[in-house]
Amino acid sequence: MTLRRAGWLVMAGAVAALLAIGVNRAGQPRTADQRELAIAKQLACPVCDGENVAESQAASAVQIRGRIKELVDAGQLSDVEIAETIDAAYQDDLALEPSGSGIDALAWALPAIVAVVATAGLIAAFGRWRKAATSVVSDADRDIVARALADAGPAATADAAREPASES
Amino acid sequence: MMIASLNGNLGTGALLVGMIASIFGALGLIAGVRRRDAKMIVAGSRYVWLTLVAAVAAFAIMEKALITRDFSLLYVQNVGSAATPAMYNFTALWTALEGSLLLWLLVLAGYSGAVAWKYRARRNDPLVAWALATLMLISVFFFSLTLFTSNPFEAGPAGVTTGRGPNQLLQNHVLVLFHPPTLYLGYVGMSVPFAFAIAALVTGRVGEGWLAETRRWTLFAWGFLTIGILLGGWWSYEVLGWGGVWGWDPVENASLLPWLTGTAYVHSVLVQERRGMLRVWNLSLLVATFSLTILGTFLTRSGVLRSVHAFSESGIGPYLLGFFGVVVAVSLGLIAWRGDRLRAPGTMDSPLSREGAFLANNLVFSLFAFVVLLGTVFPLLVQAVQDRDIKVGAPFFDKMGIPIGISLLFLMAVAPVLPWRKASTELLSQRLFWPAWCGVGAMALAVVTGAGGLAPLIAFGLGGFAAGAAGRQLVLATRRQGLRGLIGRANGGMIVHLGVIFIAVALVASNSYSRTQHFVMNAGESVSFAGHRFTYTGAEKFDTEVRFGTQVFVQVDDGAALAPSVATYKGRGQPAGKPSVRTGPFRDIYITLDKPIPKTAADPAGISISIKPMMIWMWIGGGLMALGTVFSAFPGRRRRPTDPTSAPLSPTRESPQDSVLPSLTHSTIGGAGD
Amino acid sequence: MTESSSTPATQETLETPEAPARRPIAPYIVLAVALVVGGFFVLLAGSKTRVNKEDPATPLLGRAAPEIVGPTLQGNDFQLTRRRGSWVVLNFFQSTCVPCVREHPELIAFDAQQAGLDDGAELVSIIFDDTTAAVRQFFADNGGGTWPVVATDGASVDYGVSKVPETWIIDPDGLIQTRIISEVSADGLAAMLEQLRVARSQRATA
Repeated sequence: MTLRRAGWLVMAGAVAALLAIGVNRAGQPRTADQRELAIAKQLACPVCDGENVAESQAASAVQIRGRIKELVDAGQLSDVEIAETIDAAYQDDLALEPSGSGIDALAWALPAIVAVVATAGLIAAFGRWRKAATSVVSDADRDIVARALADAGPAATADAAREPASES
Repeated sequence: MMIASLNGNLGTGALLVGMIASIFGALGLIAGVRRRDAKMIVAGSRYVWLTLVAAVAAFAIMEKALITRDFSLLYVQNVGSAATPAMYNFTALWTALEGSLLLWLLVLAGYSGAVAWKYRARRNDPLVAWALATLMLISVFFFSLTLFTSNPFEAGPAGVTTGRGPNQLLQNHVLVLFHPPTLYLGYVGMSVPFAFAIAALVTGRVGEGWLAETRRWTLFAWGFLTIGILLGGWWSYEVLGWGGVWGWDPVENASLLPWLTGTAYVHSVLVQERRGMLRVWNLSLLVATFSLTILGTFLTRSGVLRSVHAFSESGIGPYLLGFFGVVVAVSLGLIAWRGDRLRAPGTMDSPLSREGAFLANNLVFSLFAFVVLLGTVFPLLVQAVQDRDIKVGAPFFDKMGIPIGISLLFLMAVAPVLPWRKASTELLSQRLFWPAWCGVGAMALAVVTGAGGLAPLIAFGLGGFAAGAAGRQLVLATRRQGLRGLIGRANGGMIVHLGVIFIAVALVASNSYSRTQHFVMNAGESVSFAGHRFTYTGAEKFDTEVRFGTQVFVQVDDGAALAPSVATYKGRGQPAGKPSVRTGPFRDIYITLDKPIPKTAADPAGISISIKPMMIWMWIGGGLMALGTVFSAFPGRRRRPTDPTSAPLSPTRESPQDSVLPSLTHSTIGGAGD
Repeated sequence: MTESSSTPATQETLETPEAPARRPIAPYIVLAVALVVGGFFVLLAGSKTRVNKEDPATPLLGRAAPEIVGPTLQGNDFQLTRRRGSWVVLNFFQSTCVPCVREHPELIAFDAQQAGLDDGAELVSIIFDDTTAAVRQFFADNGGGTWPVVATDGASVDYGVSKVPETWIIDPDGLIQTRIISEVSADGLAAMLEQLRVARSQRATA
């Protein structure tokens, strides 16, 4: 028991260390190529159906990639600003992500709201079940259980703590 | 011309017969079951066979028209051509809207026939009769939709002697033969559990009986839907050339939505079978799954959303939407009407239990479905409110997918070891110890091989954890029962989990660590990229009856050459690139031909090289999911319904030497014949 | 059938001793779901079929034209802002685009016609995703190109050009006046310029 608890603690330490290494690796400054790719993936190709600027070989996508490269190399704008600049030139028709303001924000907010409400509902349901469970166990119920256990034979009652491995 | 119009008339006739047969079938069954008239029910079920014959005939006539190049039909003019090779000519049937409806009808009628056959001894049972009647009503809709709004047997302009051939993307990979039929087997297969759900509501037999009937039908459809979706991803990877398997395109989302609710169902149904709870919820999930197949078809076939998989526009949108409305309204009405009988008889003791985990699973899957649906139709909402065009694409879904995917991996790690009813932390600490160390091992392996980033590492760690938990169950089961232990729902399910984990890890790895670079090379030139040497050895032009274009050869290290190409299909105009992939156990090399495309062998060629880690594990994972689904379709070690649910069975009562054979004789639990 | 059918039976007998006081919430849930689905239904029913629009609207109308800098085919350096003071007609094109080839004689005619005017507009061709060699060949084959033909990397992006040909008219103050998507004709372009000139002089006198 104590050995296992120690094992869990060691595990927590190992996970923390590994995550720290990983996060540190990801935190390194990105190369220009990586930035260009990340921006291009945020924008839809203007003349394609369903492809983004990074994937498409359409002329306008190639042009946009060229412009992204220039803007990244110029080094003055952030990724978001570059994407917004280009999106604006195309009448806001390229952004693949709803923006965070106005009605667009609903796309982000609704899932969060639904998640919170559903989780709360589930918790409330468990609360109700707990209340209900403490109340009624009639003698008739006990009879049924007793009969079922007797029916199943002594083996079934033997060791209820042992785990049901392959129950279906 | 005589022969030509023959195909058109025969096909239209077949559709007409199918529609009338399904109307008579539905009427006969409903009238028979209401009047308790066995003869009428028998008559009604006979029409199911006529419907099947009509659907097969319609399919066969269209194939015959395609194979004999009967260009009197508009559809053959659109998707057929004299030069298309036999296989793609055969698959041309489902490459456009009208023909794909014929495939839908064939699968639907096939399922109806299978239901009628399986329950032939019980057709007087109101549950079966109502289920068949529901299937027949669905058939009525699809037959009339095909017949009246997009009849593939319509005559085209006279004098046409060749056609355009199938869409250029649908005639250069063998997966075109498998992906759509597999997907339809899954998609349309969801009609069967839906039909039984409706039948259960109508007859008021909303207990667990109907669940037992539909368990295997649902698994069957779910399995095919899973494989169909994965084959679609594979096709996208092998053909489209952008190097990904999933683009969050509306059509892809349309196939994912019923899969998500269906997956939620195959989990939560276990709670109802074991504990008798969640009746409304399970019914709702089946209704949602079926309605989402209709809604998805509407979204992708009506032209309201833009998509790469654009089917030509047609007038079927309003009908599909109307049918969706009817399905939802009828189902909701029935659920409200039967509300009294649907009251759950039991309670749940603790959230920390198998059923608690299933509920959490359902919450996450439903949320996932909600996010996908919201993202898919959000542009319509903005359009309606502000008359503004916006797009919701991969970045949105990817961002939303991270927390959802991580929650699901976590649940997959913890849930399998949870007992029913209630678990103690001590028990969890004991059972999860080694699986958790598997997760740490996976994470360490990832870090050693150079992975970085918080979300990917968490995903790898949880993937290892979940694989450990699934592996633990499988080891325990095989230790007790030998290989026989792999059969059955719980452990077949664990194999499915392993497949899902493979796919999740492969997705995370390929999304996070792919590298792509574009090179412009002259013949004979070499570049080094990602530890490999790539030599552009030359280009070749080709010009066949079907297509013309350019293929380039790129030698990788000292191995064989990869040969991506760009081809224009005659009659289709748009050139389409085709990547060339070398698959390895840890990473794929993925090469596409881009601009500039060499005109002669001396010209420079634009070559994009991608390194994509772990891709093969996605396909292996898909295979595991299929295998696990098959295993779960067979009954596992049997448990008498009156056995206490948490107590283990004594090994003395059912010995591990139990051969597969006797248990297979029990395999039709709840089935008709035995 | 023997054992499995006993399951529901057992469940249903257990069902009877149910806790007495539970408010019926099912109708409300069904109603809520019906409302949401109904709203959704209305939304879908009202949505129009999507078409890929070719909308010449641009947020740049009336605003300063984005700068274009780059080498010309003739080997000079081109800078758009240095052309202030005269009307400029930008034509985005590509040598392989069929409408561009079709449109080309009209541009030659337009250039000749404007050269005869006092305040004739300057035609400038902007290369859209093409190689210099291909463009040279294009002008060798089709004539013209006596005006500046500029190679830039990103100019078309600043103007939001997604398909060529596209033609833009910029006034002497460097403000964008017109965007024309797809082919133009010499006469149509000249007439449009004339209108713009008149409107401008009216504004100046007013």
